Amino acid sequence: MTSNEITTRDQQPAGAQESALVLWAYEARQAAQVAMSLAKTSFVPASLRGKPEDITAAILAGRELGLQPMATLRSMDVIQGTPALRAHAMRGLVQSHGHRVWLVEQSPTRVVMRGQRRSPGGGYEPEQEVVWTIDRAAQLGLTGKPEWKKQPQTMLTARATGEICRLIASDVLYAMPYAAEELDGDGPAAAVRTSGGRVTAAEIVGDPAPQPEAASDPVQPEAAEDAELDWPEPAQPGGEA
Amino acid sequence: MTAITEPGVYSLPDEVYHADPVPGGSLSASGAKTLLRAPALFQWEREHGRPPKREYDLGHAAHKLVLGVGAELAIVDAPDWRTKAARQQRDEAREAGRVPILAHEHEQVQAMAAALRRHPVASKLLDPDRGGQPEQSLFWRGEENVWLRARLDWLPNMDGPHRPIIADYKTCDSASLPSVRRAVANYGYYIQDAWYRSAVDNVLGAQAAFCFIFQERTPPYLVTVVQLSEEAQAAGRRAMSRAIEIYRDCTESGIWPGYVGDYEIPEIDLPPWTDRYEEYA
Repeated sequence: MTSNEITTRDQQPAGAQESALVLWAYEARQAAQVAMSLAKTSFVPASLRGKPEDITAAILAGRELGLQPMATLRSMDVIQGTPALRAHAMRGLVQSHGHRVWLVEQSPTRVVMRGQRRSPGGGYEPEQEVVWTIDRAAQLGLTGKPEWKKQPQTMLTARATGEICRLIASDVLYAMPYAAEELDGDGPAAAVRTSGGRVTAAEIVGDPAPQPEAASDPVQPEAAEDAELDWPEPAQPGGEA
Repeated sequence: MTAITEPGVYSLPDEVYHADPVPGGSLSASGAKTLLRAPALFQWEREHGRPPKREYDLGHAAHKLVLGVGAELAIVDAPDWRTKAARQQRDEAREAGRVPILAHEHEQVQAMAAALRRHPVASKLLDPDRGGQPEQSLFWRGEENVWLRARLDWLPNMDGPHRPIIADYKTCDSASLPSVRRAVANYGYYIQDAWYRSAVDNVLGAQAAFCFIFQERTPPYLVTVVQLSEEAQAAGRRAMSRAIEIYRDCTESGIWPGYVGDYEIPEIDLPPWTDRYEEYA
């Protein structure tokens, strides 16, 4: 639908709302051009590589969160069709809005985090605390997943980060409320892993069928691998990270 | 009475699977689809069974001939179901656990099976030589510790030289891509896709691919094989999670609401297309 049609339909002259939309559409086109040239570079995470449309959407979504395009690409992943911020980016975003998030306790079996929302008039609202234990993860059936076996502490921290950030600053995260690590092959919506790319007729009719190439596998997100532990060693309990 | 208390793959007769052999209950993909329409419908069907439909009989007969398993067919030599004698034979057949089918429909279904065997890809997907078992029932504990079950038309071999591909056979009026796409949305086949992949992942620890085989019920019985996009698969997984959550909540509370809660009075808007009338008013 063109902007003219919108104007006719709503019976209103071109106003502020329309020019905002036109501006957005202009920016979207610019973003699409940038995405085309970035799509094949290694600056783009594997889950977005070769997908300029997804990169465009990521850049635009990142912009709504106040992120620069290249920062967006370092911060975001598309996990099984759902765009998500990585946990470290989520924490950074919430902190950049003046809210406090810090680590209280961290071990492979238990992670405690606290957060405080900044009040509009200055000062801070009461502290909130989240606790993620390995038992809680086991109850959700997460601990059987490879990433949880390899690095339980990182995964617990990512879960706790997502939860505390949503608790104190959900308004900041409207566009992307879940951390990539929460969706990444271990989340409730991701109880199913996909099978490694499209099925081809040659694969079925040929005998024996060629196995799909690992390199063409679009569904193994890299986020889990590079969900590096970017937390400092726990400071004094209650101390700010 | 068979009772399933351990996750795994089971060869069960249709009626045992559909009667839900898990003590305390389990959720299937078709149950989930009904539950997402309204929990009360799911609960009613669970207590009363599904009313038999003619299309199901035809689809079932096609399954029987294509896959070589399922309930026995009872061929009724009548042109249609209008005579009392034909209807009586039909009811007796169902009573005896067999699937009633008219003689000319039986010929039709045989022709469908022949056409399917001529399709290079569809025939391979359902080829026993490729490794695999027809009509297998899988049981496992899913999210929220809820028991889930799935009955696969074709459970592929997990250890063979081929990537395992789950195949599901559907009969339809039109196998054109737009029709198939609508059918996948309308009949919740994308939920089935997520469900079966999850079954194979959880029970056998394998990531299988999934293809739907659609076949028209009229000559020349065209066949279309499709696979769902990444986005459609993700939608299926989300719907699956939602259904499991609703199932758990309703089971815990014992309350199975209709389309809206009994004490809710939602405000409704006009459908979006009525905007167009406003334009010209």
